[in-house]
Amino acid sequence: MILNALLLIVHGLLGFIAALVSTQPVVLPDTNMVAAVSTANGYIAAVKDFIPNGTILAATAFLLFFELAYAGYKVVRWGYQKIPGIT
Amino acid sequence: MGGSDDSRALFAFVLGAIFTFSAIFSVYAIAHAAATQTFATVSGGTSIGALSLQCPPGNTDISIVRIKDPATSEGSVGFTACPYSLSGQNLDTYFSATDGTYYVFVYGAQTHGGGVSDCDGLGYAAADCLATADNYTVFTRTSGVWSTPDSNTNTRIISLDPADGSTTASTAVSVNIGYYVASTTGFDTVGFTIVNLDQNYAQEARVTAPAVYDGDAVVSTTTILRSGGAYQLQAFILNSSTGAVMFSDSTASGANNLGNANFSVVSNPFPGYIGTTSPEAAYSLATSTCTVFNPSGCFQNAIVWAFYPNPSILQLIAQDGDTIKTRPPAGWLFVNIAVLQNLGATSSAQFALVEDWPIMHYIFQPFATALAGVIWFLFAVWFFMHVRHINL
Repeated sequence: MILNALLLIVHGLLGFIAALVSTQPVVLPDTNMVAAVSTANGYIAAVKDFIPNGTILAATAFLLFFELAYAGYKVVRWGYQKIPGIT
Repeated sequence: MGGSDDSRALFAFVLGAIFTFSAIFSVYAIAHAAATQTFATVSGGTSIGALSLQCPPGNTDISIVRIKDPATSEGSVGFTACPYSLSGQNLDTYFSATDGTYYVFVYGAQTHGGGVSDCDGLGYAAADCLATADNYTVFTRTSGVWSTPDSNTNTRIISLDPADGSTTASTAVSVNIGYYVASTTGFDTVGFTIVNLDQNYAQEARVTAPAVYDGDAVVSTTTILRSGGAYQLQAFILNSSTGAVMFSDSTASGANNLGNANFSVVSNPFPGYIGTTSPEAAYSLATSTCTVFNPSGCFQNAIVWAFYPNPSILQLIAQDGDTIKTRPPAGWLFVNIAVLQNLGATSSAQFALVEDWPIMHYIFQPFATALAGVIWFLFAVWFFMHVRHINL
């Protein structure tokens, strides 16, 4: 019951955001982006035996994840500091 | 004269047609007379399946006998023209609405002498019975459910509840074990052991079983387990006075011989929302009984009441998340992440640089492995330098 009450609050917040954004059309992938990835896959397949694509992609993905997490932290912190009495 | 010729020709045509039709019908009838009759099978229902009885050789009628017990009384005898078909008949109407074992068999109407006995293996004179070995079938009615028993007459466990692969929501587990004993000699107990597969401990219970001979029976009891998790139910049949095991999983053989079943207690009621559905993910949030003899069940139920999430609320939150992820602005990010996740060497190569296996194996693949190490090292150095200057 206690956890359900917390989950209902989360559902209320997310439901409000969902109601707002649901007025917008569903986002579809850009055809040029899909074509670019498909073409890139062909080149990656050609050099995969002597260039460690997996390592490069994994390092890049880790870097992106870290930077996005850091940026998200800064946004949350910025909003948190806007609360009166918190510096 | 012309009209008379036409009449004779028409008469000859009709006669020939009748003769031809009769010949075809005779071949069809002979073929069917030689065919084996098909008996119905039912499985856990109340309606009979396709029952198709063909004529015995030399007979145009058959008798259908429906009796509850060949040793006591003959239920009814009916004569009918063959071939005879029956389907979709409610067995409670066709036989009786009381539990028991029923036999259906047929014999040629021209030679049957009557009397309360049975056919083939059931006692009728062989001359009165059909030549085939499967000229009778058996139905059983147990607790209102009709079925066709199998021919396995070994002492064995027939059914286990909780069934293999099932999940229960409570640590108060209702255990039902169906069994069959070929002889009551020495038989008095059906027992089971429940093994916790997560922590490898066992608890055992034994139930004095009714001595049912030549039939199926079920023993039922309730066992309270210590916690949720993955369990194995191991059933056995024994003579408790001598300790002789009449059946266990280690002695099982043949079809329909069950000895154990793996089941879970609240493994994961939220597949798709939280974690996996594997038994290893089981957690102890099952409810139990709250009694004087099981006070821990009261605390267990209180904790479950307070902290056990409602699956429907989790589903609503998941739906909110799906909506947000498919609409702007978050949708722009998630849709492109989905596209980029397809990035990899899955397509056919645009070109081929080296195809010789020795060169590939001894030169380029070690080179790629070494290069991967260098890249990870450089990335680690760069990441360390980057993190060092982050100002939180």
